[in-house]
Amino acid sequence: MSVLRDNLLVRYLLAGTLAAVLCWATPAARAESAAAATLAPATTFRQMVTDIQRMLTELGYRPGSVDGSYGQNTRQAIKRYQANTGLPVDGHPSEALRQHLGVTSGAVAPKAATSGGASAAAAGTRKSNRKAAWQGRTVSDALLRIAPSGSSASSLRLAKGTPLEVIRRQGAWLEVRVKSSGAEGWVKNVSVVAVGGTASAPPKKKSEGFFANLARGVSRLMGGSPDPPEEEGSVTVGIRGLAPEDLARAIPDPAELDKMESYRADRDQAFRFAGAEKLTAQTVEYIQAAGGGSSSPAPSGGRDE
Amino acid sequence: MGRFRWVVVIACLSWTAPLLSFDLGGLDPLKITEILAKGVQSFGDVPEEKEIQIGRDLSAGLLGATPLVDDAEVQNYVNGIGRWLAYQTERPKLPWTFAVIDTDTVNAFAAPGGYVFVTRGLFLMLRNEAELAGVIGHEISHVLRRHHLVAIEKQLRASLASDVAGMLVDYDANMVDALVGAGMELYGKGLDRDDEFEADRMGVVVAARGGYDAYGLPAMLMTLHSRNDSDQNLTFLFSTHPATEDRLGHLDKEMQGRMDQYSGAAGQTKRFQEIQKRLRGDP
Repeated sequence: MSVLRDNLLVRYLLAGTLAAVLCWATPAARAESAAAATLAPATTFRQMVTDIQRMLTELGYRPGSVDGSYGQNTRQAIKRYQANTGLPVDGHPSEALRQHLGVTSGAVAPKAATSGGASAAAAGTRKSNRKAAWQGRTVSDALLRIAPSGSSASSLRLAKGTPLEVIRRQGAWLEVRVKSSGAEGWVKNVSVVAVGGTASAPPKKKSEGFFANLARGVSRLMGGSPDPPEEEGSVTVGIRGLAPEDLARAIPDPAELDKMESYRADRDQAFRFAGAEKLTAQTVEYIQAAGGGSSSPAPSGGRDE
Repeated sequence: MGRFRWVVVIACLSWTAPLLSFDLGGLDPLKITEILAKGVQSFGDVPEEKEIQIGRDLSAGLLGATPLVDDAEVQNYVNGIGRWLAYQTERPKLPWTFAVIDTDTVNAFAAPGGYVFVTRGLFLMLRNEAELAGVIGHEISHVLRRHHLVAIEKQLRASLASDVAGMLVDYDANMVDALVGAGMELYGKGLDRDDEFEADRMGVVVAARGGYDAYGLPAMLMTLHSRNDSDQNLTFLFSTHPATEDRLGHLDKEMQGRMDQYSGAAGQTKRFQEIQKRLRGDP
């Protein structure tokens, strides 16, 4: 019992110390983001769009070329960004959006040496204190990505077993917060399982607060006792599912479409594919609908090439 | 269709006169007349390059909900079989593109212009390449017959007053949102039953033309039928297709005798199982 108390005492002492250090450090960080927020307004529409495109590119949203012209790709990229960051989704470039991006991407000042830290900061930006919907952990090595797309830039490599707080799901992607660092981003559904009974239970205020997290992190650093043992979670049903609601909410992903089209087979590949299994083309007429079907029969199979 | 044209003609005649003299709450009379006049064209009568653009935009939408399985071998494999089958059809020159998408949900989708999606869940449920050929043949048939194009256009025309005219003939970048909205809604609720029956009976033929066992698709439907209705991964497919029993019943009547000479070919293939193995391991 006393061991436990000592342990807790040590935790809180250390937490206090660290908190003090952080509080001291925070004003500097805040000043930095304040500087970002007062990014000088763009002088022309074109300039504004160029800035937005550049910052979206840095964040991995793929707006196409950074040329200041507002087209389909830029619009879709803006929409994805707006959806991901909880802004109203209209796809329009605006000064407010530019400011928002300036803060999020840290792209205001030209970046000095981009050492891992800079990109980690991009995805690791603490966007909010949004509540976790459920707790999980990675079942394989996974990439924490900036946007819910396989072609989006990634910021962190998460080792197998990394504890995560899952904020929400979008299609096959989960928006997560890494428990140890607070970094937020997206990982594939398939890489995450829910952990013991916490699914759908709202996080408890006391144990999930800033200090508790800090204490846990510190105690891990100091080689202290790990988190309370987590039960092996069963995979939450439907995590990897696709439902009509997911389609209704879908935000088009042109980058993924490009990827899909890159796998297109040409005639030679198709015929080689068939040849490998000795498939031979047959002439077969389409068959008619039973009971004099409602639609006219399709033209019969002319292979007019 | 004939009756629809009459309705349009009558509507044109009776609308234009009053519209010339009254302001109709901000709706541009000329535009309405134009829209109504275009109603004379039949549904789905869209130039091929527009059809392809529509398909691309819908595909980007689908991929926004479920990305590709991140495995080039898997994607090359479905493009091999899909392209081979597409060559056996009346539209061999479309830019046919196939994909396995990353979800456990059992389903397959098609988009105009030659885009076909099979879910990982469905792929893993199949037993051999002939069954996959049946599934892909079914989806290819939706494209051949422009089922989605027609359904979406009907849906858009029903919302006549929206600022999007709903005329896919004039499809352009301004209509992307309306199109994707209507398209995703359609994927969620499914096509007409008759479209599905038609895709079934065309799909078995497309597979047979490619040298596959024509009974691959019925075999796959039988697997579906034996599955538990409460399986969550099947809910989507069951809610958007006619009852599996009905589909099998139709095929049974339609295929009777006619397809027997195309049974038994390329039923079991090693490469199919290799791909399934890849899909089973978490990528």
